[in-house]
Amino acid sequence: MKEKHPIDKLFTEGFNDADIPFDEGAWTALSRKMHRRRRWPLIIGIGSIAAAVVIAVLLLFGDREQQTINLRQRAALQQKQPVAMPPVTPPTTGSVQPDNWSEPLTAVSAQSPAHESHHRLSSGRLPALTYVQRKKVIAEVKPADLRARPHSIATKSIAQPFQIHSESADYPRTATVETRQHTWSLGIIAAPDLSGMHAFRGKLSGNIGLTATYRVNGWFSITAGALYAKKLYQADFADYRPGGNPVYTQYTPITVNADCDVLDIPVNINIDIIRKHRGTLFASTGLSSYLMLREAYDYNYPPHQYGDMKQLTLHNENRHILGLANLSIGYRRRLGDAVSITVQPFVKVPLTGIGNGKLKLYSSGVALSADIDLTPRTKR
Amino acid sequence: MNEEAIQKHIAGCLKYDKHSQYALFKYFYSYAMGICRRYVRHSDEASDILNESFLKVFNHIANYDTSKPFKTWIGKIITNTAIDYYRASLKFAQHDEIEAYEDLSDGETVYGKLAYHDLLVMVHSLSPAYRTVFNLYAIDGYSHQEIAELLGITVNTSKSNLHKARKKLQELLLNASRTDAVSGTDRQTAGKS
Repeated sequence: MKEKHPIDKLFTEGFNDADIPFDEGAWTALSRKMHRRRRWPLIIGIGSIAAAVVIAVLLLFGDREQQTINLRQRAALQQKQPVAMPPVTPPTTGSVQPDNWSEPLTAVSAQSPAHESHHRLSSGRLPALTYVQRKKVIAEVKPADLRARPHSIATKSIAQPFQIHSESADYPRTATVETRQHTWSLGIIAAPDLSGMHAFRGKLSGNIGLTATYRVNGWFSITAGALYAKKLYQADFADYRPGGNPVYTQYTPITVNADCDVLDIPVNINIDIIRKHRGTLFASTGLSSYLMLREAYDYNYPPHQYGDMKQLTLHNENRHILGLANLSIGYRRRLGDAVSITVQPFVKVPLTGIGNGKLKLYSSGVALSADIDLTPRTKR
Repeated sequence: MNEEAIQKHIAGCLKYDKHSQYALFKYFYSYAMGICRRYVRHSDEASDILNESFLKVFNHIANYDTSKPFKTWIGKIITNTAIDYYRASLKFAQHDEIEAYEDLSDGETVYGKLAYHDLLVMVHSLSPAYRTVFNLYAIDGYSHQEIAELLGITVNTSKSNLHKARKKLQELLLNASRTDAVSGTDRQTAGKS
């Protein structure tokens, strides 16, 4: 074997003696790089699943609790007012019957018009009602009649049995809503989404924040809010058009990976389309402003091209006032007098270039929110 | 850390166990950083290469052939990463006349032992092309054929660069010896007076 050159030998031995003390910071940097990209999607994934489970449970059991309360209230009322009532004749059409069909109607006369109803509410025996008659009577009860006696037994006894099983049962509730059209509600919202250069595609990202909704009338409301959004996305470098912070490189990157913290300030209008029972289907549109709190861009080069700019991090450099359009439809379900939950698929369409790269950043996802009606109870 | 412990931590790394990753990183840190510092001048660049290398190590640890030393495998990854890192800066002048370098011999010269840091400064004073070939051949044990394939140059260019690197280092070593000798004489003179 050929003997090693003395210079080579000198340097080999010298370098073998190297004793470089361990730097804990190097491990921290490496560890952050290794685990960073997994942690956030995991949190979003777990959070989304948890939110979905909570909402599913509320949808399933919230309704039952309300039914139980109604039945108890009704039972209590019947005990206070033991009026013998003839059973209501069920319809013969073969349609699904309400399960409380054979229970006595405590208050409403079959033949009476609505304006007379309250005179007969506490009277004696009343003739039997057919299903159609029963619906007709309820339909004829005007909100004004009910408002006139908001605390009367009549109103409650009409409302409670029918709330659960009949479409016309919403009448008394409609009357209540109309007495307080202008309401405020506060919502907490979590919205996993896909962020990328195209709608309905991209990397898993997420939003969380608060919203405030002002209901102008029975079908129209305005929502504004503030959401902290984590936007993770990848773009072709061809789409990346840096403005104030150009990429000085010898080579051209292929792609850019972005990791941005954004404050999203949406202002939307909501229009109720269908209201049935305790659910409401609505459409929503509006504009969002993005305040870019932090933008971190990783530039990815072709293989074997190193030494160029690899990362750029910016803080509070870009703001896009009303720079995105919000489009969504949603389903809102009331869980009680003051609480409702909403599931709202949405898409955010860029109207301007977003971030340092002026990218057309779309976000498509599903917003899950819980809203609390802040309107004082005394107004009801 | 013995070989058994290393293999145990490698198995842990296969399961993305953070403690095993930390143990291996800590154990091989000095060795790995030593390689990185030889190839690049600046410590932040060395940290960058180290980071990139260990990412590759942990992400591709399933490809490690357990019949070979793990240290050697890590060393190869670091070397390749360092070369990739500096590839853009490597400007090689093609040389075909190799005979002039074949007979260069410093066989009889004895150099005084120098500290790690002094040797590192000398290697850093070489151009990236000379430094890379010298590191690969003299320290890491690559053949000229392997270097030629790795860097995309001819065997003769590799030999030429090695020769020039040695020549430059020789000058630096001689200068260092003279400086030591002068400072030694000064100390003697100062001691007598």
